[in-house]
Amino acid sequence: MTSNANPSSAQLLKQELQKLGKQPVGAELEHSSEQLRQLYAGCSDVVFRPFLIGGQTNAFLLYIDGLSDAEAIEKSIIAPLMQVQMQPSAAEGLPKLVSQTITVSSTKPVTTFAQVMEAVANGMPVLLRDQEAGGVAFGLPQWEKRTIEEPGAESGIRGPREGFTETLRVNTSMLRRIIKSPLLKLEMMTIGEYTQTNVAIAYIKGLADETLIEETRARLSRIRIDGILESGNIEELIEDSPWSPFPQMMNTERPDVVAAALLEGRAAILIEGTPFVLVAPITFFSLLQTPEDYYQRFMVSTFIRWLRYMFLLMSLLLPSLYVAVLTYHQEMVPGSLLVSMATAREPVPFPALIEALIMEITFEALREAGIRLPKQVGAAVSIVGALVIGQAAVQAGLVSAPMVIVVAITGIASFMMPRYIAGIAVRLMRFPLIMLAGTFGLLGIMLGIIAIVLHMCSIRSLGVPYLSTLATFKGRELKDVLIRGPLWMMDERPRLTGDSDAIRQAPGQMPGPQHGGE
Amino acid sequence: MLANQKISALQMALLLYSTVLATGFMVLPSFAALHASNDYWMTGLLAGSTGVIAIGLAVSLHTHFPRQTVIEYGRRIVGKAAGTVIGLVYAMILMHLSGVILREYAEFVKGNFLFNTPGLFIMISMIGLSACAVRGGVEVIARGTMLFTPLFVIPLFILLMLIPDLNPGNMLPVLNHGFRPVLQGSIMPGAWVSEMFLMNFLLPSLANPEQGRRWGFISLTAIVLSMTYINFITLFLLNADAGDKMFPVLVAFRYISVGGFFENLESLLLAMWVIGSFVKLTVFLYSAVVAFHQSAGLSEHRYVAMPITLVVLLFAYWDMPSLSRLSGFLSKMVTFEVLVCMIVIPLFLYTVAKLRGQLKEDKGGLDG
Repeated sequence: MTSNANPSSAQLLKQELQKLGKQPVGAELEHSSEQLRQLYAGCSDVVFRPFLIGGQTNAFLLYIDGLSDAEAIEKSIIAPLMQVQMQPSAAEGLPKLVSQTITVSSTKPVTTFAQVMEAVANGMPVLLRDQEAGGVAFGLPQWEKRTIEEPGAESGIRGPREGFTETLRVNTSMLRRIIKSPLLKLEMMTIGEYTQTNVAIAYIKGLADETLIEETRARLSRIRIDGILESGNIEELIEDSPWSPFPQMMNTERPDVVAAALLEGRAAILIEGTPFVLVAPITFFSLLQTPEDYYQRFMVSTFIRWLRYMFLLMSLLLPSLYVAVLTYHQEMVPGSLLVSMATAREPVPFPALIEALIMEITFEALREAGIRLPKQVGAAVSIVGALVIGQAAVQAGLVSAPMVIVVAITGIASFMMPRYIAGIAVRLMRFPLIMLAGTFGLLGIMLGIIAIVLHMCSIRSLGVPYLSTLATFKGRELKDVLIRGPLWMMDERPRLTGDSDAIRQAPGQMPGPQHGGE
Repeated sequence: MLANQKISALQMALLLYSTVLATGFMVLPSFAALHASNDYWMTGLLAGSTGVIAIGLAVSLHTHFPRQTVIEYGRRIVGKAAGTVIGLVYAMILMHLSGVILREYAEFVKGNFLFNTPGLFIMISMIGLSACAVRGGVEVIARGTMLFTPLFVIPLFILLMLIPDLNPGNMLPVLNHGFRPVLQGSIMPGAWVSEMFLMNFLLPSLANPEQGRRWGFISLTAIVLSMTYINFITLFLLNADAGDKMFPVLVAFRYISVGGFFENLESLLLAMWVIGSFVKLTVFLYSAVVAFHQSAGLSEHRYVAMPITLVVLLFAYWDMPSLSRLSGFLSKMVTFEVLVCMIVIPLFLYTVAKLRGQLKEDKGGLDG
């Protein structure tokens, strides 16, 4: 409680700012302009532009250079106001003046200093006039933004090529272009004391469970933090099981993925300043699906899904199985294979457990180095990785060739996970499993698997069990988990929490010659 | 806590399947063959009858006292004091049986796979996982079982690789020694199948209780079929010698050799055994915890989970000095203990309730 007795200078400043924010903008222009100048002292990017309306009344325009369209301000606000002939009475005031002379499409009245600050920060120039309380903000935000590009982290062969950008408005417009119904709701809120980050909750009214949206809203508004820089910050503050290595929300850069999730009754959280949009609730299986699964022929997609499940198990279990079999269960390996493996391992001084750990850790380090390094040096890493680790280490007798193969297959398997975060979680689980395999063999692996499954059974994503569909056995929905059922069979939405409109499409749409036009 | 968590009838059926068969696969063929010789394949079918009684009792008592376990309606049937005593008896027996299951598991692992690992460690690692599952509640147990069951069932089909070595002639002569030995041999499998009565601890958590009976019987059918399948495989492979083996199924798995590649598959059995024991132990531990916390009138089952786990560990570690004593206990005493807990007490409660007129409209009772 010492902080209350002796507030720090930062807290004093905060309190002062809050106090000022609550004050209404007074009628005396001199006074309010002085207050604003003090407020923005030291902010070189804030522009104060005093001028006379119709050559008589004092007024000034406040905006941030680089956030608002300077040309439009000049043409459609300052020029018409300076040339205006009519002087409206105080009773009619600014609104009348604005409605008659100004050609900006969107305007908004502001009354308190807090509103002025918010408008200016969002790139809306604010006009204040002498002898009148309050002012008007104009919707003229314009700043440099990245163009819409193909998402880097989620590429595919078939499907839309555009990805989200760092600008929230652009992102919401991309969603709106896909889902045009007014039932697509985009609720705005600001999070972060200093960053004042705009955050939008997107959902489709009627499809998304009402309590789900309420829960999302409540969790977001509970956040008290100085700044939000990326969706990861928010994810970490609103997830259900913070002590889990598994991601309980999906992040995606692709509008089509978000739109598909919204159509299934999920909610999306869009955050200003990052192209990564959060989707919740999810299940573990939605992390194993790609949008392309639904754009390709269903048999192809089913095959690819099975391949993915197989390699998911491999990336989790292969090194530990290898260690367990080599250390405890040699009898499981057929004789001739055992001989060649023993020959390969003969010069290696380490037990299989240590060998596996060395290789796995080296591989993880190579992968991480490959991501962080500048592109020009990137090639060097792969050369070092392939030659030194692969070739030279085997020749020097530090590791055996079979182990290199196992680690390489495991690495490829973990890259097959369509969601990077899920792949990393699985990779993390690999290390305790290798340890267990090295100490208790297959028994250890089984115990490890039981522990992982139990953990996954106990966590939830926004109230939806993480392993639902398979672990809670919803027979009808299994056709989108075990296989990718044909689109004309998927008549119902997955059930998440509560009741929502279950029917997705008209039944019996299986195409065929008999359904052609008569 | 019981009321909040919901499982489906299918999940209950899978839980019961693993509960009965986890240790059943291992020890039952051997004990049944000891008595019934080469007719022991029938024991599985006969044993189903106790399952029918157990399910009938559990379901009909549950229909008259909905959303209650045997502990809760025990009190309503025989009064508070006597009901509490019955509850504590249940808690005690279930704890003891959990200990026995844990010990069986540890002995199997230690005797066949990890010869030098301390038994206590094998036990602690398993009971620790079970305790975590029980703390997570019945939903977590049920969901886990959904995923574990395939791992438990699929290795059974690998036994089909033995087909070239099987000799159906081992069945003959049928009923050479009359029907008595078969009945004797069925008592122990019968006790195992009567563990179906544990469904009374799961029925209150069912989201669709009206389906409980149906899925109970589906589970029972699957159990009887699986038991008979295993009995046939071991009989055709080992003849009546199955009675001389500690774990005939393990021998069968060792025997598999196809194409010089699929050999020595007993490690698969180990995997299956770990999974099955885990589910069985967890269901027993859960039942023991629920029985204790309801008899003691506590509100939250999580608080008693850890102490009871410790008691179970003590039973497992100190109760039996050696494998031979464990084997003796399994063949002689455990049948009595299980049958008292799963059939006699429920039957007693059912009769008292019937006499006191607490079962007014009895539709779908024992005879169902």
